[in-house]
Amino acid sequence: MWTLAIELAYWQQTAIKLVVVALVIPTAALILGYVFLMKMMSFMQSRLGPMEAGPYGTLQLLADGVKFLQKEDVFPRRADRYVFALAPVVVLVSTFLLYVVLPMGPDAVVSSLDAGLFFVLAVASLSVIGVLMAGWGSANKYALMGGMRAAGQLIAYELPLVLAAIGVVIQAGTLDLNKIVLAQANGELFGWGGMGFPYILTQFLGFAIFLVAVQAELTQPPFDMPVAESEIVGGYQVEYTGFRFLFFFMGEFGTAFAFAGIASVLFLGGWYVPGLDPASGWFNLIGPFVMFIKIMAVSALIFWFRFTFPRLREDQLQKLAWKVLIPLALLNIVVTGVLKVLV
Amino acid sequence: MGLVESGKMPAPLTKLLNIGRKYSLWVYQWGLACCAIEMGAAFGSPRYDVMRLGVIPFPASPRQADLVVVSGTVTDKMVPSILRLYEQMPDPKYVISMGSCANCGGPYWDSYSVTKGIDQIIPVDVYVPGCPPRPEALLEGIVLLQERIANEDMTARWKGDPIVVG
Amino acid sequence: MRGIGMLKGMGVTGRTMLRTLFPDGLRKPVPAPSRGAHTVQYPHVKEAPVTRARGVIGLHHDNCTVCMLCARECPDWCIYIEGHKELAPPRRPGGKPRQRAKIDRFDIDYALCMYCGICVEPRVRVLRAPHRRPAARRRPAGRLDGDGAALRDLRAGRQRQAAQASRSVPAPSPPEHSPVTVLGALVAQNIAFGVIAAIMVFAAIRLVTTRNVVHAALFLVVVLGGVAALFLLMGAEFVGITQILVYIGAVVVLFLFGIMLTRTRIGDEEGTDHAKRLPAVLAAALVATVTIYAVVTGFGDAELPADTRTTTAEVADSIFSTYIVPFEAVSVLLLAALIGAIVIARRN
Ligand code: SF4
Ligand code: SF4
Ligand code: SF4
Repeated sequence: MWTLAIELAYWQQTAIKLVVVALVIPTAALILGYVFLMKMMSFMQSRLGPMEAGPYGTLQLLADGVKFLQKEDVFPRRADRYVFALAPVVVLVSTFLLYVVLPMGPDAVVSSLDAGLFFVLAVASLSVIGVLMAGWGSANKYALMGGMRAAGQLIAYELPLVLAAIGVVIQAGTLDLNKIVLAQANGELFGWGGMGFPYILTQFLGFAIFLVAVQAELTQPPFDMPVAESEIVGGYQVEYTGFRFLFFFMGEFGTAFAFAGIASVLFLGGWYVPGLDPASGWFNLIGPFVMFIKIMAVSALIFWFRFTFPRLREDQLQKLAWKVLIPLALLNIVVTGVLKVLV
Repeated sequence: MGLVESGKMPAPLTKLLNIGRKYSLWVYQWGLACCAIEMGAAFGSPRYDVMRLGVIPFPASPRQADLVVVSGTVTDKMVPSILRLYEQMPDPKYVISMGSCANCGGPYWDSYSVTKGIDQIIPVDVYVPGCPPRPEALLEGIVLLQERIANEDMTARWKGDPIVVG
Repeated sequence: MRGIGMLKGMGVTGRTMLRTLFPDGLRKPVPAPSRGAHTVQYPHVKEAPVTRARGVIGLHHDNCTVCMLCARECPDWCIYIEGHKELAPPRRPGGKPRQRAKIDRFDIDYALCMYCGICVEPRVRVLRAPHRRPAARRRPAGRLDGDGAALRDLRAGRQRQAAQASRSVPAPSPPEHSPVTVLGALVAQNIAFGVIAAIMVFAAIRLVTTRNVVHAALFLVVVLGGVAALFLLMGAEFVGITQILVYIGAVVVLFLFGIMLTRTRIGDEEGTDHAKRLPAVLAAALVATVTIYAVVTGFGDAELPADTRTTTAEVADSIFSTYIVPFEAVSVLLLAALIGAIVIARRN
């Protein structure tokens, strides 16, 4: 929160921040869902996408939400009820925790953890538990296979995700997301500090690996084997109806938004725009907007990738992770480390 | 959820809920024969782009579907599957029967193996005649269905009364 | 090169998007997707059918001579014609009155009709096809009665009872509200500690007593999550996060993986109990005693400093200076384990 005239007690601040984060997730899911899933995908296929619900279909996802809330809440008879019911919540909590450390401005962050990046990568792995619970609790063989696939995939791609981020950490010398932004803002390009030094310039390989790994973490095409409808119906989501399915949906798009945010913090300079003093308090005000623009740009890349390619095969997926991405990421770390020491 | 079930809701809320259902018909495609080609044209091609109307052809599982389009020749062997599919869909759910075969047996009305119309097994909301119907005809059917959903009475619906097709 | 092909693919989709969004080209970037897309917006714009499109069959009533050719040609037998003969006035004065067939009823059962146009062929001038309106109806237009009834008997048995029965689905069960534990930590450390500890103790007891193996693993998640929360509460961020990453993100996931790969049943299991309860209790009690003793003698009444926050940098410094030897030893041990695992896996 930026400096307000009133001093808020700690618990008041915390409460406000929690509410804000809780609102950000559905909003993020709505925006990403509408702009990319509905419109961008349609335009890429030379069609229009939703047009009837609201002007240019802007209210389509709201209508979807209202509809999902009305749907019958089906529990399969053999399902493990509590596990089944809790799984979407676990996934959503994991998404929620991602936002806790995402800086939107020098002070506009819920909790500026010293090991922020590490925290992000840790809680991102929590969603695996939710997915496995969903797969197991549904009492459905397709769900179980989907859950297994998802878990295998998330574990495999956690590594390139972490390793790709380490290059940035070495360059910035910190794990604190806000300090990473500051390091970029204060950096100099060939001795010229006019635009800071977004790490994408040196860490382009890391950026690419990070985006591919994010794609897999989100179980989006071309890495959507866990929910592959033509192979295993709907994977771990197969038995979910109504608002529980909505939770998964929001979790997926909320996580996409959060990861796009992390990517723009790590590689694109976060809330910083050239021209202003990074120490100025103005960034608390314009930071969220800058972040929003950068997040939309990164998401556009992610979704562009998503809508272009068909699904990989399961073995190709694992091969890509272990034989291509991880070695490349390790190479990136080595080169970055050597250069850091030399330069 | 409780409110929705009991059906006791103020009119504006009912209106809102109706609009939500009207513009969000996630459709499950149950293509059985030649009609499925036309259904594919309506749902998958940029020319007809059913997503414009809020009919989203995403769901892979009937659990997430609101609307099922049964298109094509329904054989007696297929009937149990269709019934099961229908029962797996969560309420409120809608059915469009597409093509002569699904409506009443169509060209196979005197065949021993063909079910003469899926309305023998599940309640149909809209029939789209034709063999096969043009994609536009299916769109018209969807528009009619949406009109009906917009005026639907939730109380009647949740009491389990059958819907009288207008 | 695969990469270049992939970039080309993205180029294709990207170009299509731009073409749809800006149909006038990028020189004049005014978004007008309605023109750019190939979509015909059906309820608002109706497509003109092509000349040979097939559509609803119509009849020029006056021209029909009730010859029944069409009804006989129709592959679906879906045309119903009734007529009668009547005397038409003579053409010329003084002539003979003519007998003419007059049509009473001409119905096509549009539920059955295939719009094939075969009926049109006998008398092209009489039946006009195509009537250009592909139509959807709420009901098939030709629900016939009267003379058509014989044919309809085939379908007469269908009534909606069965359908209605299947519609009265039991009302949805109320949603379960799940207790989400959002740790509003640091409000008062002690209260938070108490709450977390209580949850952990409960989960730990259930972990041992539950007969459902998957539930046990999930309770383990709760316990380990509680440990992580306690670390965070103490200001040991790095250790807390590591706890989440390693134990929940990796170890328990592997547990779950193993259980789910090998067991297929949901629900309680037989044989999760153990016959040697007494030794187990004794062992547990022994471990608890030793731990408590160690903690009490180690710390006694010493109060923790108010601010125990350890930064990640401090942790890193101490690992790589004070504890460098143990750290390296552990690393070598892990490396050995890794190589051993690869060797064992390679053998078959
Ligand atoms: S109605 Fe005609 S086009 Fe459709 S499935 Fe039957 S025979 Fe094929
Ligand atoms: S419509 Fe034509 S073919 Fe049919 S009965 Fe009349 S004249 Fe004969
Ligand atoms: S169009 Fe074909 S199916 Fe329809 S009435 Fe004519 S002959 Fe029969």
